Amino acid sequence: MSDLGVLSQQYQELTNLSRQLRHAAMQIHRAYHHIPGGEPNQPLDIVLRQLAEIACFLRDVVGLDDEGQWPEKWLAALPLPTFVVERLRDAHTHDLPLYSKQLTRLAEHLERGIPQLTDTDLDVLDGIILAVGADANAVFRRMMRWA
Amino acid sequence: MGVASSLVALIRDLNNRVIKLHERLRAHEPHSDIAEFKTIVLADLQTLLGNIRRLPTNDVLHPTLQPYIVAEYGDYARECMLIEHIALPVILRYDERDHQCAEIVAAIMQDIRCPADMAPRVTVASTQYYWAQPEFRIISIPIGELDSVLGWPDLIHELAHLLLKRWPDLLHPLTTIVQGHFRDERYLLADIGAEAHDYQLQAEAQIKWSQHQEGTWRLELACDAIATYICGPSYGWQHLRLTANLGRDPYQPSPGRAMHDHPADQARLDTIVATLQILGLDTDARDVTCEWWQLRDIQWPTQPPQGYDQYYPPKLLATLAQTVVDGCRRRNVAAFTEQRGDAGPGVIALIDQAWQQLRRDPNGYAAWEQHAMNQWRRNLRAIPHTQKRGTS
Repeated sequence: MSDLGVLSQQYQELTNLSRQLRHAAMQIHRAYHHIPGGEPNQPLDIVLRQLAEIACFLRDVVGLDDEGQWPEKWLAALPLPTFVVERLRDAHTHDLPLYSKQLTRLAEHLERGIPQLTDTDLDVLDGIILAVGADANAVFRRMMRWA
Repeated sequence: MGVASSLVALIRDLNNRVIKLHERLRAHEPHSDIAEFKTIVLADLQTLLGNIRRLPTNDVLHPTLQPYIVAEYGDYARECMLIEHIALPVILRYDERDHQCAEIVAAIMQDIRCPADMAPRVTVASTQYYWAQPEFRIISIPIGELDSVLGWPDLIHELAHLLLKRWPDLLHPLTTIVQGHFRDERYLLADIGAEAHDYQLQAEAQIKWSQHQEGTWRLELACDAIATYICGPSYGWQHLRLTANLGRDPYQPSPGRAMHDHPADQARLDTIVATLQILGLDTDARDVTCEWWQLRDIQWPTQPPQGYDQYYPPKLLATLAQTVVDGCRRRNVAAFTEQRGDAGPGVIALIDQAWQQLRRDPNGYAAWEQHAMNQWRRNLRAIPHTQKRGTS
């Protein structure tokens, strides 16, 4: 398959992942801010668990530039592409220790439920979801040769 | 204009664009080969229009949701572009040469006993060599390739991508083996007190072999194995030809160098040879390997770079080939060994004959190819292909 084929397949998978996470995060925003509307695709507790797992993954790996140091369980089943991890690591070059703590807290709060979440948690969550979307967009531009 | 109103304007503009594309396509009278695809794309545009209209524009008033609505809008805008740039040209520009290519593909589907509904839509207009777009089930080939049998093994490789999309479980047995392999390798590294760098190489390879978004090597190598299962040695010869044409270092990507979505050409050759051996085509495997070595040795180092085997473990290449052969056999896909020497209208046999002829008589090949293709087309039109092969 030429690059166009490979990129097309990657774009589709990334878009599906990005959309799934985006809808999950919107569901959490609606619950947290009491915004009516929206049609949830999944029960809230499942959505919270799914995003908590992603926060745990990022907490474990965002500080490890070398993938060889990543825990085996994440290497065997990556919840996010490595490019997203790199993107977030680059975005937090200057506050990586703080960002790691924020991810730890986000994971804990998501596991405990909506009432435990804070505005900071939601900012951190937004950053993750938008990074996945940015990655999908970058693949699209490469595919269409607009990069 | 605030964020909310400018976003509403963008959504309205996208809505209008989709309507225009829908009208343009609806007014077009397509070639009968592509009429069904037109209906599908019209339905896709209609669905897209519905999704755009259902965008929760009220949410734009909530600042915390604005980035999400922008992202949602962006998804739909790109979906529209994909239809406009990839699917629509196939329908609107479809001509006699595309039809000839569709006949070849239909004959291949018949040869390998794959249902006609799995056949791709084809377009003879690629500027990026052969490519497949799985979502629209499109294969595009360069203009000159329609009249060049020697390159058709790469058409089968692209077809393999679409087959894998349809049969995602074909590679499932490999997943556990890959995970087990890299876990064991990490234990071994720990046992000998390896450096962090060695773990890094293992992790990079594991990601490229995985079943996730970045696991592109496993996918490409599997398509090489499927193409070899179907085409036999012709796929190996075409691999040599393409590698020579592109002049790539056969060991790249390798440790310490830039990473690519495609695996190294040497690993691809090893997968092809492993598949030929599984099919019992040992002489062909030896011939392809010998010529590969000769070609490689005059251009590139004869030994792979350090750490190369960590990226492309021979055991995994062989297991992948076996997994593909087992999976194809379970799905009753016809192997090359069933086609070789077929005097009938089979495309697979034609490709095999073409490569044998080129190697036997390069000077006379062009005339042979012209004659063989004319003969093949006459046969194809004389009797419906389905009746010739006696397959369902």
